[in-house]
Amino acid sequence: MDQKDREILSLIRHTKLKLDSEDFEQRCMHLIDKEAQLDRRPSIYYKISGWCYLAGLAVCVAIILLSLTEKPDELMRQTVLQSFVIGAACYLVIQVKTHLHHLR
Amino acid sequence: MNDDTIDLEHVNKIRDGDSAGFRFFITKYKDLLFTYASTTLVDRQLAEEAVQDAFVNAFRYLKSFRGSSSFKTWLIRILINEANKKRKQVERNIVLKEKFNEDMAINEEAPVLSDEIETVKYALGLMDSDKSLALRLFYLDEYSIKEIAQLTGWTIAKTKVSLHRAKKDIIAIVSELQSKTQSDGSKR
Repeated sequence: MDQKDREILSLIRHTKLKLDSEDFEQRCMHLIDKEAQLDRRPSIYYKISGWCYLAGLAVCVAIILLSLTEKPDELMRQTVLQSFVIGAACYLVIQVKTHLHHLR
Repeated sequence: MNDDTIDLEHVNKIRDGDSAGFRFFITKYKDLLFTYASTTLVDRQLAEEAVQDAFVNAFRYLKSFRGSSSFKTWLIRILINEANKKRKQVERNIVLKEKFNEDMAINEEAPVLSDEIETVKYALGLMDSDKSLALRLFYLDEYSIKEIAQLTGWTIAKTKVSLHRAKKDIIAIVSELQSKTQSDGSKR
């Protein structure tokens, strides 16, 4: 490879193109703002459902503690089932809402 | 403070909730990404769309950026993937064959090029997109063979071969363009 060939190759360093569409940055930021909004919503739902889940568990634990003398096995089974149902319902609601937001 | 450190600072701010701060990266890297997108996609509009999609994806997956490479390299990798996705939808090689004869002869309709840089840009546009991309990654951003292979998903062997052939091709095309320009000039 001679000097002239090296010169040709070195010119590639100066071939950067320009993206000069006037509103390109605006369009991009608009899309990014939408993405940012989508990001914020699921975390709020997770927080709300998390508190609901804890509240449900707290109620179940209270029932267990107050009714320890009455059929404890059946009560335990019922409260565990109730906790699970509350948690599963919250989780499903979040998944559906998140999926719907992403589709939009 | 070098570029990578500045980029990392902005990444951390965006992760902390300052989504508007992403504009910094758009302003800084849009031309570079557009250059690489245009290497793969002939159509300007498609190239712009690829750049736009790359920025949106970069924002969406910012949490997965671990810092093992620079933010710029990570962004270029996303852009190359987006451009390749779009390329599969478009028959670029058909357009290439119409522009570029198999023996690299330049046809009579080749434009008059004002200077050497324009000649090299035009020559890059005539080349196979993989070779053109390899050249730009090597000379524009001075990536090593190994880094180019990581960015593009090619093997090291393919990267070396592409780069070697690309260098030969561009020298041949530019030389031919320049001799054509000189002979056109002497005819006038």
